[in-house]
Amino acid sequence: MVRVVCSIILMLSVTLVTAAPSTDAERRLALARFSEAAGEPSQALAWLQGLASPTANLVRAKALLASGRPEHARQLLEALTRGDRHRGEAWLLLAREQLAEQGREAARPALQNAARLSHGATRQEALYHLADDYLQLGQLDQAGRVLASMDDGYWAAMGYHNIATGYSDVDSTSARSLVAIRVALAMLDGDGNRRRAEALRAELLLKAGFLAYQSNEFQKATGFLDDVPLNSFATPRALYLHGLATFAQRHYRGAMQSWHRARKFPLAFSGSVDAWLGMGRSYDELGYLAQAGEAYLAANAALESEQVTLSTLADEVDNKGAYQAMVLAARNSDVEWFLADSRTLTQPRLAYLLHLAKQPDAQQAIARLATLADLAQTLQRHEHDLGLFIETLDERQRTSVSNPTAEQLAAQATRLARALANLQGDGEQASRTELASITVQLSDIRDSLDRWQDRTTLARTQQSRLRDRARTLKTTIPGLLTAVTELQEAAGQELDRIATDFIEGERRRIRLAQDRAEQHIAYLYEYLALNTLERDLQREVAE
Amino acid sequence: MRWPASRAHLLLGLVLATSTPVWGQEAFQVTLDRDGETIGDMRPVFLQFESKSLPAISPREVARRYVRMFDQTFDPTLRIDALNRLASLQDRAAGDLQIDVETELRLYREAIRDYEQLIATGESDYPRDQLLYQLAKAHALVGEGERSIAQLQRLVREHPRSPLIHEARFRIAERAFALQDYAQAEAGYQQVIKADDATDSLKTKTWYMLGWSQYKQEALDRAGDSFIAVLDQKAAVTDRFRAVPDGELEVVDDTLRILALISARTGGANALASRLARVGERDYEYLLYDRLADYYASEGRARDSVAAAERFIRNQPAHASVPALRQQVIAVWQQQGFADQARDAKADYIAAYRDQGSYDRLQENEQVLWQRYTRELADYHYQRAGTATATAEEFARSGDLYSLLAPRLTDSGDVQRLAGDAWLQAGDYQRALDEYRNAGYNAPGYNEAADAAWAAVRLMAEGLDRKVALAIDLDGYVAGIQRFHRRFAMDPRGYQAFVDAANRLLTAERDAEALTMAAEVSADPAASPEDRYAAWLAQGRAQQGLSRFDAAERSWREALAMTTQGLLAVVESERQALVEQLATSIYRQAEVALAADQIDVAVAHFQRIDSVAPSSELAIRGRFDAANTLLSSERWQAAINELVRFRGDFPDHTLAAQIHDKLVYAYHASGQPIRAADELMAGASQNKVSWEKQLRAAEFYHQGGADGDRNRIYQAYLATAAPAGDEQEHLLQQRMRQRLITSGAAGDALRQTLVARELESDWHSEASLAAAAEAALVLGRAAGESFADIALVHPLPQSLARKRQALDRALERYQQAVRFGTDAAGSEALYRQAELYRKLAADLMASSRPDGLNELESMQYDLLLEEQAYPFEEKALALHARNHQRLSEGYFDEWVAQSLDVLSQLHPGRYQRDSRWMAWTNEEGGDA
Repeated sequence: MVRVVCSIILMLSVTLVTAAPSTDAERRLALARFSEAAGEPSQALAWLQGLASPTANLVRAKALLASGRPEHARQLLEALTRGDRHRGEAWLLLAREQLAEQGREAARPALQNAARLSHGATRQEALYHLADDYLQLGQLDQAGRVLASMDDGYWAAMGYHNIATGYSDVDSTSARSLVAIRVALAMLDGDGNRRRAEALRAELLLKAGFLAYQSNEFQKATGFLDDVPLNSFATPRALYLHGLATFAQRHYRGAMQSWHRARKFPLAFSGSVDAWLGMGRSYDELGYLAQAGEAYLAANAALESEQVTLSTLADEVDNKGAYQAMVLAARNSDVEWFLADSRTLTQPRLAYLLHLAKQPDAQQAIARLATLADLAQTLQRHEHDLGLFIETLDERQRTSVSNPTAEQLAAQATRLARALANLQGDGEQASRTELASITVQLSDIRDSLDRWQDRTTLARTQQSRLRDRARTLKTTIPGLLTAVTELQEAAGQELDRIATDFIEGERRRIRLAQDRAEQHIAYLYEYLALNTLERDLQREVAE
Repeated sequence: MRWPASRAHLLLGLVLATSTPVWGQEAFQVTLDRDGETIGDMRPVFLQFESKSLPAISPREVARRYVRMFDQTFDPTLRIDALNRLASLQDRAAGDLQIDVETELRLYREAIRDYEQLIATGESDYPRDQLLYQLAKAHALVGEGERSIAQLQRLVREHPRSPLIHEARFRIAERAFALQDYAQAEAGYQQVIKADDATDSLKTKTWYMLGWSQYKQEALDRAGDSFIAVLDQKAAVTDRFRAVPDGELEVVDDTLRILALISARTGGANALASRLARVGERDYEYLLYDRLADYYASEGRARDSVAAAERFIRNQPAHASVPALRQQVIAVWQQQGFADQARDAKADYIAAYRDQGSYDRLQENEQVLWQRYTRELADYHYQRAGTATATAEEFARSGDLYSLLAPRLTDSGDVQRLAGDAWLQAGDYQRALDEYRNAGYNAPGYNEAADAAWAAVRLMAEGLDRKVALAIDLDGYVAGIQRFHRRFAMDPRGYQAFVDAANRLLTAERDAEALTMAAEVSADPAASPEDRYAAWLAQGRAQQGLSRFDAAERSWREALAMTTQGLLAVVESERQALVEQLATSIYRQAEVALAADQIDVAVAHFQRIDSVAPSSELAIRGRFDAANTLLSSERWQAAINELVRFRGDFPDHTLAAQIHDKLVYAYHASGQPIRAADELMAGASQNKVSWEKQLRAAEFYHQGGADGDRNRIYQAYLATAAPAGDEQEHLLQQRMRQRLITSGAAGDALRQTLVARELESDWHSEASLAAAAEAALVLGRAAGESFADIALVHPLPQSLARKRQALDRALERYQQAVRFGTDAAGSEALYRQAELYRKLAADLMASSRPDGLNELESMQYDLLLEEQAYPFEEKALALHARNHQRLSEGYFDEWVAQSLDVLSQLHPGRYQRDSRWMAWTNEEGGDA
């Protein structure tokens, strides 16, 4: 299933080499690139065995990096940087590795080289990282110059997104930030990857809306937020922010529209939580205090329900592990969804999974577990396949000594040919033509059967070799499976820890939201109580 | 580090691609084709807004929530917010949150950690100085005073520009004060006061504590000034102490108290005045004097207390607090047992707000007090008037106070009544009347309003009767009664008053008004029988005064009916008088009808008087007048009947004497002259009827054709009557004679008398002359017949002489007839005279011849006879011609015609002519 998915993704996101490979090496190289892109570095490395071209080394380096062998990868990459092909990509990969492992200072030269020597998407990515480096150093102008040299596309948009954040940190107004966001949005038009462009676009609009809101430019904020798609990851936050901007313009009912929609999202999305509370605030501002109270109580109830969900999720993580409880459970098919015990668990579970997956270490852990699970499945399948293969080969060995079938078929074919020859004399022209055709076919069959017999002899020899090899491979699988299982456990525990911390964090977040809801309810009650006090006091004074 | 999106997206795709669309909390679905693609395309949903009733939340519930929130949340910001809210709520709810001290201490103790955490991390929405301050406060609340001060000092040190620095300094000074280091405390407080940006409320507190710190150091002057400053501050926020919130009350009260104490210790009201003169006037001075007075009063020093209050009253008599101070003076005197002084103070109080303007400026409770004092004083004077020598004066004072009080009360009836009584006793009747009226009519809800109004009515009556000096006229009295009755329609006294008013109006000859008044009572079944009876009587009189006798009759009848129905006891004389009145009213109706020519009605009225008052004088009079009416209306028979009946019923009544003449008149007028004559002669048998009556009767007889009765009277009269001495008598006698002659009761002798009397008299009338002439003619005819009967025989001279005498006698008669001058008699007389002469002539000619005459002698004798006869014929002819001449005079009758016939015989050539009538045509354009 994962493989199918990966293949679909690859078709969507990875530009494949359209020309059919002509040699085996090219074919294997293509398959290796495909496997690497599909997140199967082991498969890629398998395909790359025996290949030593710069491209193969590049792919190999990527696979090694993905499979957690950065030292080997680094050697290959450094070699590539000294070569005359794929230098840019190699520098970029090195820069990424150094960024992750050693920091910005160490990665800076690699980035600069990557920017200088690469082209296309690689160069854009390198420039992005370079601009980001400047941003981190606080050199906004320098970063802006780098961004100005970039082509339209995703990386430029990301760079402008980041510089907008930088401007907002130093500027008292949001003017420069918003300009940068607008440039980022414009840059996105040049990105060929529609899905990531749309995702980034939603984030850019959200950020622009946030900056405008911070600057009290509420109409501008709603203008940005109006363009946020309703089905993006940023939608709940955008809806909440949209509501805030509308609220700030005293259009309380309009704000409620946004927040009402935001509430539909799982509470895993922070905008959804805030939207629940926002509804109460709107009722309050509009003077419908009773409904405000009800809204807060409803929010509280929803949050309490979410706590229950989180508790259940935490229990399941404890019992089944995070991967089973969160990742696999989110993959339920349509049929399984209908049969699920609790629909609410599956839906928020997916949302929480999405949020969990935003953390890099969570991503890595999940990927690792997915890979290991896949590996385990593969190994199990291989073991099963190998078993079947061995049986088949054994069977074939047994049955290949005499194979009357082919002879019977040949004899039968001869008889049929003779019979047809007899028939050809009789009948009409059309029938005779057809019969002649059948006769030719039977002759071909007879020839094929003859050749087949020759091949079966060869095959038996090969089969015997294969059978031996299969038996050898099959014996290694349990050990591999054990290793995979151990790795799964370790990865699972890591993911469990991350998930547990995450869930705990979510519970705290929900808890805090509950406390805030409770706070609002208390404010409302306080207001009512003080009103009652005031009324009683006035009554006393009147009396 | 920001993770590149590629990996995230990859994983995102990894999971997203396996899943169906994102599911939210409650069946969330994004169906793009229905909802739009972006937030801007979002289709709005219907959100319901309802105004629902809100629960009644008690502050305790809120406090419980905050405590729970504090305990349950892990977020220090929320915990601190809950704690702050709780503190604020405690202030607002005056501490009634049922949070025990231990819980409170626990909260603050735990909050200390939160504060410290937030201060250390800086992760808070609260500014750091505020956190330090709150931390200090928390330490203080949990009894860690030193730590609290330490935090405050840290605040002052680290945040010199913090707005909380003054509060911090204040608290530090407070700590010094608590440790009785008053000088240090004063210095600390002074620092706060000197800060320009310290809040007023803080400065006020600081001034307050500064004052105390100075007071504790016995620096009374400085302390007093500080407390004045406190009051200045408080005045600004309490609307000049008109609205002191509960939270300020204690401070204000304490400040005033301590200022009073300081003033008392430094010289009392004078010291206070000196201080105020030094620091400047304050609009809340009254509070200072008031509190000083309170202080003295609490110390039992009434005079000092009063002096303090009066000092202010003198200074600012128009101040709004003066009433309260005055009241305080009164209370002090009362409490100390100085009744007279208290009373004088009350009088002052009353007098101070006597005029409406100053009264209106009083507060409601002050007005109530004023009313109470006024009532008390009024009652005092009223009661005192009973025993005092100057009674009228006391009553007047009392009345004045009551009158002053009444308009200012909602239930003023009783007071107004008392005012009326007081003024009445004081002799001011007009004011008494006014107050009675006020009590009666202008005091809604006053139970004795009727009595008060009745008192006014009685007073008016007395005024009207001049028993009291009250300017009241009848109109006023009537108006007053009407008003009484309008207001108190069920009060029986109203009827009595109405009757009284009616009677008075009657006396004043205002009958219509009296009638109205009386009618009100008589028509009201609620009135007592006596009142209704009196009303009917008054109505009767009024109706009579208005000449509405029919209505008067009804009134009398009503009154009379009441006497007969046993509704009330009435003496006989009064009942008789009623009957008389009733009869009179009927009589008057008859008169009215009579004046209106309603004869039948008048007669009926006259007659029915008897049915009402049988045999009364008026009834008799009525019958008599009925007869008279009939008589005057020429209903003779009815009048005759009535007269006869009257004479029959009342023969001895004085009016009966008039019946005779009226009957005579009626008989005569009704064409019954004989009865009239009989009536006239009716008394003749017993009483000698006068000749006048007899003659009238004779006349009536004559008119009635009872000639016999007439003639008897005539004959009797003529037999005894002396010759007429005047014209009337002469003519009367002549008439009698004529009638006697005409009726054949008398012959020629009476004729002769008639003629002779006529000749003798100088008085004539046409009738008498005609009668005389007729008589003369008859006599002449008789004489003529005697003349004619005498034949001329031999001896002719004798017969002739006898004839000549008869002729003369006849001629004399005829000449008498002529002398009497009537045309008819004259012509007949002439004719007859002429015929006498012709007869004579004829008789002469026809006389017998003497015997023995020859023819010649006979002829001679005939000639001689003719010569003798011819003059007679000539005379006859002349007489006839004289008759004929009467034609030219325009007279013609049978005797003229006979004369003309004779003339035509005697002188046919002249007199025998055919007459011819000439036609007369009326031509136009005549000469005229």
